[in-house]
Amino acid sequence: MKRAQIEVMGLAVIVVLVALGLFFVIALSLNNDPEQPKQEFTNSQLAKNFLTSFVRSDTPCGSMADLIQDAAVQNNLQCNGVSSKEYVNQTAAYYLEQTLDVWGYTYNFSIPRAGIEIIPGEDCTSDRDKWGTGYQPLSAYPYGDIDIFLDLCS
Amino acid sequence: MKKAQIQMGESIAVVVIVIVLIVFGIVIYSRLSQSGIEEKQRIYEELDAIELATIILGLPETHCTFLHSTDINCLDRLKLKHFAGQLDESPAVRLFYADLFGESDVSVAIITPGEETEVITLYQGTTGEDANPFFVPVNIYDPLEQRYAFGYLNITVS
Repeated sequence: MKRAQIEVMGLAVIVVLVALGLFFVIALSLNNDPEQPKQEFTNSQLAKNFLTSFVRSDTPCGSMADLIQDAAVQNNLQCNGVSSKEYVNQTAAYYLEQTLDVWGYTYNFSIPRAGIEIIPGEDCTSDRDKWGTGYQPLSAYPYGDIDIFLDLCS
Repeated sequence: MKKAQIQMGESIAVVVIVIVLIVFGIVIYSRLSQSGIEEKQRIYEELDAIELATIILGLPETHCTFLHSTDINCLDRLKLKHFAGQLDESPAVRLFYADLFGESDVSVAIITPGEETEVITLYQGTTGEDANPFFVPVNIYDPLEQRYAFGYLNITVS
């Protein structure tokens, strides 16, 4: 074998080693991806549990569910000197501030039918940034349903 | 310098470059493996916390019951306070529940608008400082006032 051929072989060996190294780096990087669904599941559970507990909690003026129903349909009730819509808005903002804000989440909370929307930081309605979504329907029979949404994002 | 010496120098340079490449590869591989192991450890701690949260929410010592039926995602305030007192005061009780709680901190926060957040500490058993807390929003039922409060279960596993 000539000297030039031997040098080409040496170069080929180096290229193969570099390619192997890159292969390992890419393979290990891709291995982290399968954990993403678990994170999404955990965050979705967090959002759902938040909404369930929020709707079920009691206020000095009755249950939160009653106040949400009134805020969405008639807005007749008064609680602590403010309308039901304002009270629901204030209480939701307080609970969110004491929990998700402290835990470092960005979120969108909304009750579209009552015109309540709490977006303290950046809007996270796009699917790309979303970590988890919570949805809680509430019956306002005979006036239809009320939907409550909580989106968590990075 | 003779031709043979130059060729020897070339061979040595090639060997050195190859060794440097191999060492570089090993270093990158080990760092990625280490970060992978740390990530796995964090995931397992999180899974332990989820498992413990599920157990606590279904534990007869803490959950809400109405006419023998269990209320989901709800903790009884009186049961919590009594259970926390027992765990704090009695070493035998603490030892009995040590297997269940393991190396974890468990507390329940009750949030009331206009008032300071009340925290009931159930168990303190963590040893690590870099443990990640896991939160589960729950309702805390007060059987005396028959009211549901908003709160959360805070679990830290190390």
